[in-house]
Amino acid sequence: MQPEPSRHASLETLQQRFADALFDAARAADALAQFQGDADRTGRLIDLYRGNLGAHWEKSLAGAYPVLRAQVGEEFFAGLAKAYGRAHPSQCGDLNRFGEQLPAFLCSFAPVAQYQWFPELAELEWAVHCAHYAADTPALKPEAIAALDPGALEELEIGLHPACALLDSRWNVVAVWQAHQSEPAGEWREHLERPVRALIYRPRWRVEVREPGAAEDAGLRTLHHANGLGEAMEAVADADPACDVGALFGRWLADGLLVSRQNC
Amino acid sequence: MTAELLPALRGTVSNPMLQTSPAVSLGAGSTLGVGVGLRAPHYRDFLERRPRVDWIEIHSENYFGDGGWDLHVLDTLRADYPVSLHGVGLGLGSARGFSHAHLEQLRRLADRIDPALISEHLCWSAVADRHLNDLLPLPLTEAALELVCERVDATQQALARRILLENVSAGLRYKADALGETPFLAEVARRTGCGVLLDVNNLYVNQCNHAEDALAAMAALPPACVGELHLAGHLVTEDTVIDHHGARVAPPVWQLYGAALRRFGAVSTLIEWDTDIPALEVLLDEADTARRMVLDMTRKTADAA
Repeated sequence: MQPEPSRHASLETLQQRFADALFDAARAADALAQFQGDADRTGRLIDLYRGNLGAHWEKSLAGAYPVLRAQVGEEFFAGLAKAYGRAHPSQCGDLNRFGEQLPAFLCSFAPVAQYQWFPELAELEWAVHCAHYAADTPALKPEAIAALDPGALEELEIGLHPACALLDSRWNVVAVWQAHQSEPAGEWREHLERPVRALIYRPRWRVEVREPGAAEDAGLRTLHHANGLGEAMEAVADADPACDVGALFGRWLADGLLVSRQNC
Repeated sequence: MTAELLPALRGTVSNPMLQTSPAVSLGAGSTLGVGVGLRAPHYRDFLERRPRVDWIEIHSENYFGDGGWDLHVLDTLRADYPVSLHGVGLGLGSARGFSHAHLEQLRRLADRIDPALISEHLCWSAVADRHLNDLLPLPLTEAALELVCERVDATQQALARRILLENVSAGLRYKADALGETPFLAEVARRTGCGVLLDVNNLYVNQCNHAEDALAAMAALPPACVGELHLAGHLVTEDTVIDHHGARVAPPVWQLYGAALRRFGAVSTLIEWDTDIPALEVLLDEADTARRMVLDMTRKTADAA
């Protein structure tokens, strides 16, 4: 957002008054005076615009946080959207970016303080949302890897696909998320109270979430930090000497987690 | 950018589906025929059976991602349909908070899709510290006109294309208003070389809400500047009429559409539906009605000649 020359000052004042009235009904008086027509009716029309604003916030957040919405219920979610929209005003004409601060907001939103997993659930859902829109960088195919001689494989600079994300949570939000992929939702409460690692990835178009083991997580994090495949496999073996490294590598390829860094 | 340069930038539009239609007189540029807004609930219908619509329009911002399913669908359908990018988030009339990054996102999408049309709204949508994500009405003043013209120039330059600017349904009108919305649009078109996307339903909504004569509003637009028409449903409430895009096109709006066809010719027409989206067949049925009216108008024009 860039400042404009002050020659648009009168327009700026007029729009600021309108915006203030949309954010705070108590500040509508200055805006009301700008419009033609009966003041009572004008007030109701400004209320209508204010309602639109809240509806856009709610719709945008509902798209990005369907599991959180299912957990809190539609009515509470609508109130949450309004509180969030006031605390973190939209900064972008693309509403798909609007919900980015919700995990942080939930940490300090008193009405949900007892639901301690909500911020981490929201963090997971935002990663899923971002994965949905991530670049379609072609994943490395098992047959392409099989065709390489061992020397070429070691030289290949392998990275994680742009849709991949790794999260740590104090609560098992992977179980919560997975339980809500079916209708009605499956059981999640009994699994909740343990820390979890989450891998978010997109094999093709649908985003998946699963819990990687400690060794797999160590390997993927090594790749995520732009280190080579050799180091990643060492990290896997260090974390779990018994791990079948070849099978794990095969799974990464099958899940579309790996890309050639030349393609990024 | 000057008006003289624009025809060279406009490019040509070809639509194989139009080859079986009779040649018709055109508004600003070639007509695409009758299209529908592409919305996610209809992706499957489009992918599986390529329904017989002449073109599709999308909300640009829904395709600002780097990749993923939505862009994949659009890339796929682009091979079979001309595409129009219809923006809802640029806020050309925002005195503060106009985002060049947003414009750059739009340019990136336009470069990827090579759209037949690109449009935005005559509105504002942001202040210095926040975006309001709505199509808010502008005061229709000389100051607003100057600002909008600067922004349209900047947008057309960034995109290296002509854009169309759409009239909005305004719940409120300002005391400061010095001219009507369509004379305002006509002047923006004259100064910048942009075209007008005339939303016939919005004209009707404003006629109901502000006693602004819709036919007089159309008469204020030179026929050559209108490059697209929008048709949609509205909702009548106690206080106001709202362009909720959640119903069939109402009879008085079809009547106005007939008048628009007579004045502007067989301009590219779009059926829009955004709330309580029904089965695609309902949209196709509305598109058929529009297509019949275009053919009817074309025959009458030919007979008169």
